[in-house]
Amino acid sequence: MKRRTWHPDDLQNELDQNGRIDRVSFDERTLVGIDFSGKTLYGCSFSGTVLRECTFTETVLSLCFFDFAELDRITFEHSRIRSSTISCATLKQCRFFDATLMHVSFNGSLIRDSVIQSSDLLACRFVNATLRDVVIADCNVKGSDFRDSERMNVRYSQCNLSEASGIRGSRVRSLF
Amino acid sequence: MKLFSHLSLEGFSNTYVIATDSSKSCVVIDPGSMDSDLLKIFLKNEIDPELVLITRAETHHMAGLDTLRKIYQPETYGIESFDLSFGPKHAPDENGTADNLVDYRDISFNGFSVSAISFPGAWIDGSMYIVDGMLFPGAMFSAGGLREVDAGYPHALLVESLKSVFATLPGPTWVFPAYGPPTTIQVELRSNPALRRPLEHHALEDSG
Repeated sequence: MKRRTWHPDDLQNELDQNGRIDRVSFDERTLVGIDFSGKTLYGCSFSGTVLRECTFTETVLSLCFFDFAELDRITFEHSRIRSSTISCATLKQCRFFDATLMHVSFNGSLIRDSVIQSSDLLACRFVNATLRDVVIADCNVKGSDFRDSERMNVRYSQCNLSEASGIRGSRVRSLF
Repeated sequence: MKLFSHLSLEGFSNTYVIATDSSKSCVVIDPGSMDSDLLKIFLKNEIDPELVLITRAETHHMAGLDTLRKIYQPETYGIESFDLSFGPKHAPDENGTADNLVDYRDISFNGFSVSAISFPGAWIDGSMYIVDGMLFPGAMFSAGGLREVDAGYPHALLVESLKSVFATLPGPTWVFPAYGPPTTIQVELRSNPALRRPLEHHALEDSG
């Protein structure tokens, strides 16, 4: 899928002028303080991108790739993420609140000092991920897969862990 | 090139639709169901399915094919035994060795460049496809997982076959499996436990 690239200086302007961002490559860039709120991102690539203090409030992301990205203090509030990958990435002090994630892969990622709250994590994957000092509260984790993940100081509350797999208390065998 | 993904609620498999920016034809991969949402993708984007690729002749990958054919007249490629026109022609190598694990064929179709990959030695009833540089492995593997096969030789053969395909593709290649989220070659090589784990001792050599 061929993707366009935007000049860094024009990025926020381009975002402000476009409600829907189709197939744009942000690969290997450093994005600081960019506001993606209310946008629809489709087929966009953030491979190896450094994102700091960016906001994805009420953002719809579909078929987006954040592999090997560094996400530092990123907020995903009321956002919908579908069929996307945040694999082999580093997430630090990120916050997912009232977000809907479906078919999102965090495989091989390091997630630390982060909060996932009041969100749907439907059929998401955390295979081989490392979670440190993470709070997962009031979340629907149905069909999510935590096989081979390393979890240190992860606090779950009000989650249906029995419907996930590869996690203590889960009763579901991996579907694949 | 545009890509649409559609989740079939029967079997929770992914169907993918690939269209070019200029042409009105599209490629459909694994129509697990032909429902109103999939139809909307065709109508909204004014595209007609002209090529259907089946990764495995199994209900979750082709249940929507009959209905699709009643509306459109796509060419269909898949497994020979299910009356489709593409299929691995060789059984495992004559000598019974693990040579010739992977067979490539190119299909040129209406602006789409498609490579069909079969695994005559490892998986007789399935194919993977590369369309416009994106890999569609069907159920062969998914993000962080591998198709369930018996341990030992079959598992080792599958892993070897996949690794030989991965070696021909760039690491950042996008991968869209039949089940679950998308991934990339690089991510799978780094994080998929089945691909990272060392193979059982001499699993391939012992079988010969």
